[in-house]
This record gives sequence, structure tokens and C-alpha cells, in this order.
Amino acid sequence: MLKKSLLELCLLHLLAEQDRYGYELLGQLHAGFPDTQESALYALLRGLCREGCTESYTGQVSEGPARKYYRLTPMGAEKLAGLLAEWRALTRALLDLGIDGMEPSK
Amino acid sequence: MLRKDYLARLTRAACWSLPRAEADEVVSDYRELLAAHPRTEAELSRDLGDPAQAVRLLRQGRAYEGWMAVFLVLAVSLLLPVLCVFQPVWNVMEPHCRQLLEFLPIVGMGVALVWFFWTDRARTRRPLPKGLLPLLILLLAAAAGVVTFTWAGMFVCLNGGALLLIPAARIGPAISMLFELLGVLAGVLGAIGLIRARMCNRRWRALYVLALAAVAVSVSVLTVMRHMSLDIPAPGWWLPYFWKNMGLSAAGLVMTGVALC
Repeated sequence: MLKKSLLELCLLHLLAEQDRYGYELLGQLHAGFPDTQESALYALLRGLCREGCTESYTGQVSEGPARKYYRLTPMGAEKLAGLLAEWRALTRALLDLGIDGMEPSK
Repeated sequence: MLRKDYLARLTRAACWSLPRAEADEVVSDYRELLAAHPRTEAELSRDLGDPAQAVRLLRQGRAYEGWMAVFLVLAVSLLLPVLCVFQPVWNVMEPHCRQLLEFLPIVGMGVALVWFFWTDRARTRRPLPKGLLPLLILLLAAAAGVVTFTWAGMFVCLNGGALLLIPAARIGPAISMLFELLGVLAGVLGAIGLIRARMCNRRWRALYVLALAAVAVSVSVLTVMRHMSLDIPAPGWWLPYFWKNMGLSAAGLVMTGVALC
């Protein structure tokens, strides 16, 4: 599984939890992957929008300006399920090889 | 790099590389992103990277390649004839290529009108961009000046005397030089029109279209001058050339009007 797919999985997962606005979404992901620039994350998000996996709408918050929110579409939910299955298979394969990814206990 | 500079650079890169509607959306998203969390210059480059790089990540292969192909056609339609107003370049060209050069600007006009209309059709009509009108007037005035000088020069050559202190014997080279200068001026203004039509407002294509017409007329007149025989010509020899240039000029003006819409 490439890093791109992993980041897409994270984006779709965050949107499956709830609709989020751009900065919140990118900020959360950037905190988890500090080596990946927000511009690259934004490009992935736009790619998902283009594919029809996510869609945007303008939402009004009680205070402050209108924001652009993103939500998951049924196609996005399907893609998320596919990526999750891929991720689980990868994790299983690694575990079978004795790689659990955890720090060795002292 | 401050937020304002970042957005300005991003806007330029997005307008050049992405379709108009998408470029507007991307710029608006980045504006929101930057407004949500003010950052220092170091944070901007660390978190968001270079604006040009950010736009490169958003480019869609086919749409960008399509624009590059159209840009190449438009640039060649303008620059090749402009280069050929110069005698040394003209001399190395094959005769059939020279004939084609006169019609290359027509291709450029058609492609510019269709492409910019097609790619910008979803947008509401915006006001005439600032600076376009003065540049159109400058080019029209330069072309009118050169044509007037040419007619007056022909009259002086046939009747003897001098024009603006230029003796009759030097009027031919003077006309040739003026058309070369008109070609270069049109080339520069046409390039500005082409780039601004993509980056700012499609109505800038009017400057590109008018420049193409000026270049086409310059190339056509210079072709006649460079092929002129020293034999006594038949009366009315110039009429076919006159009508051809009138046609080119009229087509250029009509298409400029259309491009302004």
C-alpha cells in the first residue's frame, strides 16, 4: 500500500466520522503526517472530489465567515471500505512475517 | 514570503496551469486555509511549500497538455511571422513557407477566439480590463501611421520630392523599416494579450487578435516590397495586394470586435 493510498484512507476515514471543513481536515492529517505538506494533502483531497468520493458545500458557522465543508459520498464510502480491506491484508501479511511495528519492550 | 505574496504567486501559477473555474476554486480554498491559521514565513514554506509546486500537484494531465498545445499554436502563429519581418530570417525561408506565413495569423485568430470562449464560457461577463483599451488604441494608431506614411510615400515616389525630409530614394527602405517596427510592436503587444487572456480575463485576446492582424499586414506588405521587380509595372499592379491587405485588416478589426465581447 503506497503512502498516497494511506493518506487517502485517512482522509476518507476522517470524513466518515463527520463532515469537516478544509483547514480542520488538512490540519488533523498534517499533525499525523508532519513530513507531508498540506499542499500535497489538499491535492489528494481535490483528487478525491474529482473522483466523486467526496463533495463540498458551504456551511455557515455561528460566528465567523462561511466555510467550505467536505463530506463523504457513497462512492467514497465504497473506496474507504476497499482501502481498509487492503490495509488489513497488509497488516496481516506483516504480522505473519513477525513484523508488528511496535517498539521492542525494554 | 508573506500570506499576500504567497496568494499572489499561487494565483499566477493556478491561472496559468489550471482551467479558469478550477483555478478560482483553488485560490479561494487556499485563501480560506491561510486565513484560518496565520503563519510565519517559515511556517508557510514548511507547511504549504512553494506555490508553483502546490499548483503542479493539482494539474490534470490532459487539461494541461491541451492548453500547452493550444498555447504552442497561438505562440507560433504570432512569433514566426514576427521573426520573418526581418530580412535575414526571411531570406533563409523557403518560398512556399513564406506564403504560409501570411495565413498563419488567421489560424491564430480563429484558435484564440474559439479556445478562450470555450474554456471561459461558464463565467459571467466581466468589465473591460484596465489597460486593454489604451494598448488597442496604441496598436491601431501605430498601424494607421505606418499605412498613411506608405501611401504618402508612394505618392511622393511617383511625383518626386521628399516626405518628412526623407528623399524619394530613401522612402522605400523607410517604409520597409516602419513595417518591421510595426511587426515587432505587434509581436510584443500580442504576447502580452495572449498571456493576460489566460491569466486574467479572456477579453485580453482582443489585443492578441489585433496584433496578429497587424503582423499579417506587415508580412504581406514586406513580401510585396521584397519581390518588387525594377521593370516598369503594369498600371494597377498594386490592386490585388491592396484588396488582400484590406481584407486582412477588415477581418482583423471584425475579429478584434468579436474578441472584445
